[in-house]
Amino acid sequence: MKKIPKHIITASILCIFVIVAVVYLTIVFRSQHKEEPIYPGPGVTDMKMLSTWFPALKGTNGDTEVYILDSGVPGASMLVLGGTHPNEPSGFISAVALVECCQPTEGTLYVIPRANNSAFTCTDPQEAAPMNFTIDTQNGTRWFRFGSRATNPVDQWPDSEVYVHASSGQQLSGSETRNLNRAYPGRADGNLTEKIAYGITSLIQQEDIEITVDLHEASPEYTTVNAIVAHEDALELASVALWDVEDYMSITVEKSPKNLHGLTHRELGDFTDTMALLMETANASQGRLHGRIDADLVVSGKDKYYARAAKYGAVTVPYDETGISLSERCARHISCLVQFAEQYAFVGDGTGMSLGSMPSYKDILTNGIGYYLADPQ
Amino acid sequence: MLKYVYLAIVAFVLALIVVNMFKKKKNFFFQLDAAIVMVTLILRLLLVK
Repeated sequence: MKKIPKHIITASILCIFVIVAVVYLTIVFRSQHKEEPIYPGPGVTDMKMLSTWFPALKGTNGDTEVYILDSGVPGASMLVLGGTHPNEPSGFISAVALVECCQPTEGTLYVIPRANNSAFTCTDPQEAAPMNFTIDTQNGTRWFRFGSRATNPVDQWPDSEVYVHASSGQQLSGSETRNLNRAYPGRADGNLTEKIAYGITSLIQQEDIEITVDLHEASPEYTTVNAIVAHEDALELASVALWDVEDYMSITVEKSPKNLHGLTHRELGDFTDTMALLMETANASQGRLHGRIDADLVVSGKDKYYARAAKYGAVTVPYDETGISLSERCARHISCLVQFAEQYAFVGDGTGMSLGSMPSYKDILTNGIGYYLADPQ
Repeated sequence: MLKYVYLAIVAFVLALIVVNMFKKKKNFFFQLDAAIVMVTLILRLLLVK
């Protein structure tokens, strides 16, 4: 009997290991496609998909839930975008909190918790980021995905060498091709990211949304952080809202640069009648100075390397060993959203908007954001 | 269209690696390297990630 060469035996064994590894990794990676539950609260009157406003999104990973909270009292309308960048969780969690506990008393609130739904299904390469994190509610623990800044390459690939923003001709790095917040106002016949942007722009136009707020996070060393970035049409609203929130938090208003294209605060203000605003909080799990990135860093915001960097003056926000928790970041977002709504009557066309009795900044800091989320069912 | 060109290239490189792994007498660590590369290429080919 002919003896099988040794290298054939080792190659065969390794191929079996390859198959086992592929099966295991497929299960792990595919698990990120499972959506975390969102439990619509008593204020939610309807839920539609974004494809309602732009049917081409139907059946794609770009289609996403739009929660509608109609107070029943005529008034202004506000759209809140969470999850434009799913690796910036305070925007997503703030949007979920609105869906689960907000009961507007005037006007209509639209909430898209997962603006870039595709980007929730993967993590950023080479970042070693966790795939999910947990938040304790009053009677249980909820899990949420920690996704990527950009659309999943499985849904949109390849990236061009240079990303050319369609309506302005602005040129950016090719990796920005999948960044939703560089794609506005979007294109009906564009790539998936541009189609998502087009769907959101269509929603704003068709529903005559008066205020649009895009919730983000940035690294503590970034210059635009703890800030509201406002289109020139929304500068007055942002400034008036600041009168109240400045009593308990440090925050600035910045004017949207006219030469920075593709972003919500520029393009939605230019291409629609909405007052376009974007908010940034400080997230230590972003940036380049943090240590090991894990779910605890995402939620607690504590990082000893950022604390040390702060002592050297290398960060742009107050930061120490206590960190900047997800609860504090959500408290900033929610407090400002409440003020945008309340103050709109004074700077808009006279119609009012109220988000009802949302928890205050102090309440969220004291009880934690999980206290205001629904219990797992 | 470009996606399918890319996938064809991935499939071609994967086939070369598999053939090369079995074809000649090789150091075990070369074969191990090849196996690790195969994992990532197969995941790409299946559009898993």
